[in-house]
Amino acid sequence: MNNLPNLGVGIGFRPNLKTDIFLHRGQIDFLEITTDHFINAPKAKRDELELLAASFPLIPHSLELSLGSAEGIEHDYLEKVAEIVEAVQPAWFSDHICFTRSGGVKIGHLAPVPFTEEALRVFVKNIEAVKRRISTPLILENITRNVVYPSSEMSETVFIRRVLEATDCGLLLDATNLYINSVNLGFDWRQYLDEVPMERVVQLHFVGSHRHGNRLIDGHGDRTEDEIWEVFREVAGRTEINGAVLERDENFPDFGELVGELATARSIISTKAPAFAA
Amino acid sequence: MGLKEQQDVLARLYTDQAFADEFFSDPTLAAGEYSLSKDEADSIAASAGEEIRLFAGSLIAKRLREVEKLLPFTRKILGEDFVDLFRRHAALFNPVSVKKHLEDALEFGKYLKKDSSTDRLTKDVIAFETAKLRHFANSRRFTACSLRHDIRPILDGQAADLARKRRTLAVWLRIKEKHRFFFI
Repeated sequence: MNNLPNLGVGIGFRPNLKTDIFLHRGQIDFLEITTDHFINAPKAKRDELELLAASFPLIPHSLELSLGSAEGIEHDYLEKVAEIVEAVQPAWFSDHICFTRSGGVKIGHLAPVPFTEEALRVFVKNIEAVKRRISTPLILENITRNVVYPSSEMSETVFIRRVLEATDCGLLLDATNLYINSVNLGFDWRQYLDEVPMERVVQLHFVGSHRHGNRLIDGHGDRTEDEIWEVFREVAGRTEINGAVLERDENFPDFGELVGELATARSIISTKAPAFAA
Repeated sequence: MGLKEQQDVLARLYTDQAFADEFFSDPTLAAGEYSLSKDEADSIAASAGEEIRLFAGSLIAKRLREVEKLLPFTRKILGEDFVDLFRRHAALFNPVSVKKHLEDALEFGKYLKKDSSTDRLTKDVIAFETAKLRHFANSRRFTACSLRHDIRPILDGQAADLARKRRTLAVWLRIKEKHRFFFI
């Protein structure tokens, strides 16, 4: 993970943003593509991928490797992810610390696993299968979770550290997911940063959250709020980051607002401003 | 209970509302098919019941948001009924393919076409939108969709009652990678 390039600050590619992304090429260092959107794609989407790859460094971000599934990796899906990675030749690619299918059921969302020795062994085995097929560095993202399993045998941070160390993967630290979990589950996100292996952080995700009742929701449709910038700034102050991605999926504002968020992220990373006081 | 059994039950609880209702009213009975002990079933229900319901609810909300985007005119013509109808559809169907939102929208279209409470004009709008989705998703050369109403006013953003009863054919063509669309 030590020799990865610094890609700068990018944005998650969404078709709705395509025109604006090309109009603002000078302000976007790279794009993160959702791998799944280009799997089994018609020619128009394949052409789009080719155009994007010719215009920006791309990082594929997949949703369904289901690295935490005890039933193992779905090899057809892995093959399709591998094809996209080979086509794009990225510096790294990413998926999540979760499971998304079991017993023939596709959940359609990122579901947390209990933090147990057995789950750890499952992750290691599945990631080894992925690495046998794809040699490009893999980085793993922390997800939001409302489910707290009583069967967990260790904390999330210990679990993440052990998975990353056992598999030599990097961490895609989602600042928004971390902040949301800290509010919803009631823990100190600074302590979380004390405990995860910061030297393995390769990339950041950031976007705003919104409140629903007494919980925060990662709707990917809101402006990045101050509290999440605070997490971002703290991470940037603690370690080198190879890339940061604004992960906005909906409720798109004027593109100038998104470019402004990219500029804020770039400014934080380049100045490495001291973290806010607690 | 091993991780595999736990994940099998959770995946089902997250996505199958009828199973979840049954599980939370009688955990032991519903979990029988997963070889969970009474204590294990009770433990899942007691410790994570609320979280599982929240997670399952957020999954439906996410599916709804994605399908709304794929079927904007159906959403508009149905108003808030779209939400109720989608929830009923989601209780019966869970997408499994890589293109899960597309699959969900197309299946919701089938559900609406069969639904006796949905009027003929709405069925024409959903037929139009699902035909269009199939055309572009599969990069077809030719797609046609027969309608009982001329729905062009709805597509132009006008009131639904301006859509007159008249047989029309919506046609999509792809010629040299350019898509063309017209009504006959």
